[in-house]
Amino acid sequence: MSKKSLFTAFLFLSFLIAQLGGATGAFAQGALTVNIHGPGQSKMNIVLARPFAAQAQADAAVKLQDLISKNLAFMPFLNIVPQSNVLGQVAGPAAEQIDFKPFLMSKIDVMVTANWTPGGNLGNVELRAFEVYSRQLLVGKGYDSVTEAQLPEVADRFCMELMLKLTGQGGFFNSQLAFVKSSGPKNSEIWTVRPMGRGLTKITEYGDLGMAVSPDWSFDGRRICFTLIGSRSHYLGVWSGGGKPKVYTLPCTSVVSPKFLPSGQIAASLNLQGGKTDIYLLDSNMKPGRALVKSSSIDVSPSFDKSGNLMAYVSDQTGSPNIYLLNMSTGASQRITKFGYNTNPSISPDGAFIAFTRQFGGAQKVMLYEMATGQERQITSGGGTDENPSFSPDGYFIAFSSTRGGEKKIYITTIHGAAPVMVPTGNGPARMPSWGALPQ
Amino acid sequence: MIQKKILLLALVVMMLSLTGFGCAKKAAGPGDGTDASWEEQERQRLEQERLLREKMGQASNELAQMIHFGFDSSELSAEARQILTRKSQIMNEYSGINLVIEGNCDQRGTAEYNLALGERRAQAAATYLSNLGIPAARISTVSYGKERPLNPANNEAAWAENRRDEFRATY
Repeated sequence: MSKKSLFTAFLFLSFLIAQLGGATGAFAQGALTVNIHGPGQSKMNIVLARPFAAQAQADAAVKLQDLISKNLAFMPFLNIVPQSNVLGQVAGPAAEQIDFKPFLMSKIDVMVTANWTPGGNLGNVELRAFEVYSRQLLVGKGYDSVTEAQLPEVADRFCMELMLKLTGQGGFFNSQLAFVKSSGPKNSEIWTVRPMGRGLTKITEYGDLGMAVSPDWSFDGRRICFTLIGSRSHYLGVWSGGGKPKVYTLPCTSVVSPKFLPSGQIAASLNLQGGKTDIYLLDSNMKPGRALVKSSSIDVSPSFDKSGNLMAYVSDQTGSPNIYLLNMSTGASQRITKFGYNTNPSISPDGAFIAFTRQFGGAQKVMLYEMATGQERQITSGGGTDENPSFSPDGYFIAFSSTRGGEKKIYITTIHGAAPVMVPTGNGPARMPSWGALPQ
Repeated sequence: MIQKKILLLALVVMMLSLTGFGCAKKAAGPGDGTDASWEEQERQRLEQERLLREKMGQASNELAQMIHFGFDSSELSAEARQILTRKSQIMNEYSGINLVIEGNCDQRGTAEYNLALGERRAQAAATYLSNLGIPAARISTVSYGKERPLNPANNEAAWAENRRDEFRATY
């Protein structure tokens, strides 16, 4: 990957200091065209320079550096290079104080500097990211009177700006995952976590009484719906941001793949008519309303774009499960996959892609279908089985569960199939990720 | 201890009072007019079923014999039909009991599709029993998809073992 192809636009930059929690420093920015293609291509190399800080701020500086480093390690296309690997001098945090040449020779693409100055609480910090090739400032942010508790948020905000600059999408650091963890053979609970592994929280406590599966975030990031499998029936669970989830009994025994529409309504596959499951809209009282898809076969796993006009789903009307696309306005359905065993569709928020899984022998792999071209390509490979792809709210990343490391865990890749990075979810297997935005 | 005995007695009385009646296909749950939490209702249901199994003895074990399916299929084999026929005889013998059929799948497919496929497998057995004269009201179905594998291994033998219907006597 050439450096020229990484950064093609000139950036006119100025540095502003702003209050944390209010408007942060902003720069006039040109559009970058960075796109890291293909799992086999080289990564972008980034150096986090040693922070500049007085003795009193040294601890905070190290902590923030560590948080930024951990955050960036989740970007599958970034390679964090220790500063000690390069002989170049970084005499200060600004461009004119940096000898970029040795970094350029060492194939470093981006350098990040931190400069702490005395102020309220832990002090004030300025964070800068430079493109080494052009020596241009990519991102500059200032945060005043930073407290210990604000350090993770400072790291998230800076990383969000940097990713926005590098990929055009910054939502990764402003998002959350819901997923399923089991602590026994008859037990599964819903958990949430930030994609960087922070804030790991269990939100259901059914023990051996029921299995909570198939979580799905609402588009506003405030609710999670899920299937609760009881001893006599399935139920619909809805968690509203705190406390115990509400459990709804529906007039059927199967409540499969409940999914939120952008409107906040829920659609789910129900067996209202015997053994076959069809996809229904539920009303505000969680009662089945009109059928979105009704056939003599299995219809499951609806997934909606952010307009609410497109719904990808699975139907086995041709004998084996395939991916279909419903235009909600016209009611017209279109078959997307033409062969094989295809399930788990997740449509990107902008409706441009559908990620899904295809069975190869005894394993599933994640595929990506591009609406504009009708082309599909495999974006995960290697050992184990990969399931339940879920688009990030910004549409650039895809979370999925995989047994590639032995135990089932959650990984993140990109629409270009970058090498997957594992999301820390604590001990035990983790599966069925659903990616949602943080509430605004 | 006394309280526990009273509770068990109450459960037995409740169970007996239900026998002889066709049980609704849909289990009770929140929104059905009861104040008990979902967890409490589920606990009561499971305890009642445990007592029923104890009461039925060997017939309960025979009723529990599983049937198996082919990949991505809900078709009943000759062996499965034979096992189901025997179950219909037991259910005719024990006219007060009902049956929960649990559909299960192997690990190759994906979770949500398998939850639907498990339901179809459970319904296949339910329909067969209905055709043998067991009232539909005495049968209910629930799918576990691939959430409860008997054998977690990833090979043909394990997959075949996991593609199954399980059967549970209930009140």
